Amino acid sequence: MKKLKNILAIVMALMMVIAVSSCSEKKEAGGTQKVGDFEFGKDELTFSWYTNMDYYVATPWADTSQTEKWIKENLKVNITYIDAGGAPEEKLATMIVSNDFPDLITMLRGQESQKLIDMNKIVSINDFMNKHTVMRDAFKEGRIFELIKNKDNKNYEIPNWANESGKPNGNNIWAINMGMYKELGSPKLETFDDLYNYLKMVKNKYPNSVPYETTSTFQGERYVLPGMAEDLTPDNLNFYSYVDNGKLVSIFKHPAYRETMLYLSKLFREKLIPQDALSQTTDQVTEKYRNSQVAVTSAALSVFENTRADLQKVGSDWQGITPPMKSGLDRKRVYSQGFDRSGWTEMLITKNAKNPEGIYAYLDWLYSPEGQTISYYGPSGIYWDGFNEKGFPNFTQKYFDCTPEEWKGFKGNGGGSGLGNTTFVDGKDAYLYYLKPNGKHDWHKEQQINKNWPYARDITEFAGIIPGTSTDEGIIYQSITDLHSQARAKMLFAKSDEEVITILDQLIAETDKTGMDRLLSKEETIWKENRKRLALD
Amino acid sequence: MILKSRPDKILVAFSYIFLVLFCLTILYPFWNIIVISFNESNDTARGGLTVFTREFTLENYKQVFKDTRLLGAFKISALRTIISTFCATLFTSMFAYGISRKQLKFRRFYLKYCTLTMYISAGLIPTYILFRSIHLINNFWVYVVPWLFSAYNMIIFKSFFENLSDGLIDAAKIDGAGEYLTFFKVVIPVSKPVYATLALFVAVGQWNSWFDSVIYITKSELLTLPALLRQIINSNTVEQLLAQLNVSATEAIVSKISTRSLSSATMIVSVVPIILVYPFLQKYFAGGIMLGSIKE
Amino acid sequence: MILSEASEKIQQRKIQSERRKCNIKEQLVLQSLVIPGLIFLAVFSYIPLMGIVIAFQDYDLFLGVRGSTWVGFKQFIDFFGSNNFLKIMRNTLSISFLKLIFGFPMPIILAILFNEIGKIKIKKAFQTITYLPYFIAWVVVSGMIISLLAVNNGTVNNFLISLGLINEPVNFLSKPEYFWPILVISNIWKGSGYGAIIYMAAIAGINPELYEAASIDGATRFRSIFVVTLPCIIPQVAILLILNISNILNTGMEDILLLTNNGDNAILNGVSEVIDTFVYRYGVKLQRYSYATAVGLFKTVVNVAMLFSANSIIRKLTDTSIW
Repeated sequence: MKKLKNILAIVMALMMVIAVSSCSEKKEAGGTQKVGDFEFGKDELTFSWYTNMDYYVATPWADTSQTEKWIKENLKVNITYIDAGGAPEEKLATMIVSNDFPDLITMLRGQESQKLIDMNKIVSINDFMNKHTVMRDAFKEGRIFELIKNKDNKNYEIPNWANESGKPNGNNIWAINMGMYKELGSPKLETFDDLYNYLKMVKNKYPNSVPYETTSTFQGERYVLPGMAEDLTPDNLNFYSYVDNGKLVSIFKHPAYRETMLYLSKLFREKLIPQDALSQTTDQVTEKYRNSQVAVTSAALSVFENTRADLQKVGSDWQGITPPMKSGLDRKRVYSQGFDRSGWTEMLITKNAKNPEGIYAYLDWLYSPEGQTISYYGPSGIYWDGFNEKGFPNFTQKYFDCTPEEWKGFKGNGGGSGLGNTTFVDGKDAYLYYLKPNGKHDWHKEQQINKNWPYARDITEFAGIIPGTSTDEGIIYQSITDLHSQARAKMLFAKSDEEVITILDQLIAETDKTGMDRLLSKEETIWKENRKRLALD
Repeated sequence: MILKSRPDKILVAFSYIFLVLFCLTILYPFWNIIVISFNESNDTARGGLTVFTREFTLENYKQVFKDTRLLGAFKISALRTIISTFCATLFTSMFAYGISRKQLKFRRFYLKYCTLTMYISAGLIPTYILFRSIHLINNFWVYVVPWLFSAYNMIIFKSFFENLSDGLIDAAKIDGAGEYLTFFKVVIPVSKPVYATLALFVAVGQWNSWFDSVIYITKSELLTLPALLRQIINSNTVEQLLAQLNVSATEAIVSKISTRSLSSATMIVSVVPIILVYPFLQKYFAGGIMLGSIKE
Repeated sequence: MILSEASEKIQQRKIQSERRKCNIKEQLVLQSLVIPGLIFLAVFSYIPLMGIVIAFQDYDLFLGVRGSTWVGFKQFIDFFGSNNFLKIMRNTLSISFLKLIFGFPMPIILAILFNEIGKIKIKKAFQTITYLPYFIAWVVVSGMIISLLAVNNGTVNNFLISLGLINEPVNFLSKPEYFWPILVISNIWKGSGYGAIIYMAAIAGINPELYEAASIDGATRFRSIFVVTLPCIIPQVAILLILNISNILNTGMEDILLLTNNGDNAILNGVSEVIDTFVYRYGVKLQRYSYATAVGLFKTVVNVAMLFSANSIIRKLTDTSIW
């Protein structure tokens, strides 16, 4: 009886396994490649658009957004947005496993997207580019499409937030609490020594303050390092390397890194950096900002800009400053930010799409000045009316008068899941066209223009050098990340300069042991290839 | 009834004191969350909020309820909770009852077969492939069918059933009832405490479940309440993230509602139904074993 | 004592009913109660198990199971050989044991104390309040803890300073020695009330006649806890204890991640990195499915071994067993 039952069970199991496995691999990727007969704007276009980012939330198409309603009516476009509900890795995995893809995917450029291309799931866009030419022409000078070509010499990836002009885009600055600054006599704040002295002054006069707030993810290292030497940006900490005589070397071996950690450790020891720098949350940081306890901070603008109202109540304000640097360096070659002209995320049209050309046409339209303007400011006639001779919108009085709530309710999804044209929005001389009636910019723009852009470095040649997650080098990269974060914490808590050096030397030894040189050589290969494509050599 | 002696008085006093203190440590933070959910977001960020709201607002809740999909998600979660709890409790307890009968052949083998499944899990991908082949993807029943049986709950049921007086079951058998009748007419009514408990556990698990919604469902009308609530919270942190990624934030209007305020409000929204339901189940805990059915 | 006679009679009845003959028809009916569950498990638990094979492969999502290369035990060796392994095991086992030793008795104590509250309304109130923290998401709870233990204006620090116990605020969340206690205490706070529900149901199921018998014998309520209540709920306690012990390598992850600022608080890494957080960072986020599956398999093997041992030990002590 027992044997029979066992055999029965096994047979049942086998049957199910066979059924399961034969079901899963059959589905053919659909999608015909129509060339030519589709007319954008006249013919209907319907597609699904998935954004593979954890923060993205899908909203119903043309529901509340005036922009989307206009696009639906006038361009005959219907989009179904799909999100990952906060779990993009899992969602993407299930799509791959079931061969069930949406028509368009927005994701970070990297190993996953490369794999999708290699497995033949993505449509190449070269034919479409020649019919819908806005992006192609825009990227020609910066050679952006050249940069991201695939090894088979075709293009598959459409960059998001690409930047054709070479003008930086970035929002991170050093800022000071003006109230405290004035009360302390507005001392010079150009070098790190100046900064140190100022912080000590702050601590003496205001014992309960936080002299230098490094924010909830301890960004201090990323802001101080670039100031300690020429040609560095925070991205060197992402790459774990820097350029030395045409080769890539471990960033930990750069003398500036040593100085950075010695400096930060000293600040921490003397309680000039909050003692809970590593454990505090965003909320705690915001609390400090709001209570006007912070004298100096370095962060992305949106982390603290909405606390301005609280500072203004006590007669103070935030003001961006020129990033401090080590004394004696060439100011023109000391940066605080890096920017990549090939953009941030990218879009891929899958072979599942029934009308890939139509999708490309839509994206191309989005990139154009008309598309960008309507995306951000809605259809003509409300916040803007027609274009001026330079190709930028004429803003109406209503635009300058509207409140943030009205604005948000009007816009809907806008640029977040769409295609961003940095050049149009920020680059070239675009910023000149977003002036308020009094001829001034809004505060945010002001800070960007004056305190970020002048100190930003073009790092496009380093696009994509960080190895993919499941390659061997990717695993090494992850191990090094762990070693780095642990060493950084220990250095911060070190009791003396000597201890910092010891920990740093240990870090160098351990990263070398883990395979730093393999990581560097992989990065170098990609970097050199990029330079060739960008015709830099 | 029972004589009150000194140790007893101390016991009762101790119980009260301990429980009151324990409850205070719970009430205060819970109350604090309620206060935060009704307090204006920017004001909360200034810190120092303890017992009363400083700037009362319904804005946080408005933000939560603004999403028109909320009612739909609520219905889905409610439907799934009710159906799944009923079916799963019945299914699992039936199995547990059968297993608890010592006369069942292969009993020990079956038990090992079950308990092993509590530990070995194949993981997401094989499970997804399976669901896909039986058409549970994007289907409401993916919220019910895979949850019908829980080895963990089964063991708890079994433990209860085994400790039931055999006299009870014998009495039913002598009266001519088969196993199913015995189960429905005798065992279930007498096991009210354990049914109430496990029904509650299953219901809570179902009500709070969001991960399966994210992975197996793409149709937004089938989203569960917690999955939707998570999305609402996530969409509010976009701007901060975008900024940290060095993207031009021209269009990033900073939200008036911080994550903390929003998550407090959503937490209250998702907990309130449970708090309302629980007292109804409590009365089942008071009942004990039936008296008088056992004739000495 | 009458109590022992009563329980003896109950034992006799049990033996008698076991000896009842069972014919084929009755056996089939009994089996039919059980078959649906068995099929369910076959489909939903055992079939997907075929996927375990990827632990022995270098699984590539795109190539599928058939297309990925076999690497034997490489994933396991990578895991054991990684310089994190000892640290991870030490943390995992310590945290689990601490949660067990300090966390397991609390729900039982609560349930017993509830039973002593005479007034129904107050009892219900206590019960409702104590299970509330279970429903507060860890995101919120960890936020509260971080806020309470803050260096600037944290309630705990302010309190200790005002009592004169310390001079300067203590950075609780950046000191490794405080991490485990904070973790254990917050888990007890969060889960005890809800866990007590099971024991309350068990206590509710105790035959009141036993309490009467005890009081007739002169026992106070206090004594009857030890003589009636505890012995009667031993089966449930035993089962739950076995199940908890056999989950020894499943420490959970949400609480740890949140209290270490998502792993950013690297100072705590030495005491907070457990198997689950490690797999999450290396296995899931990096999409190393084979690695994650292999580690999962390792955990399963250990847990099942613990299950068998715990079960036999407890069976010898209390006559209760999972099977």
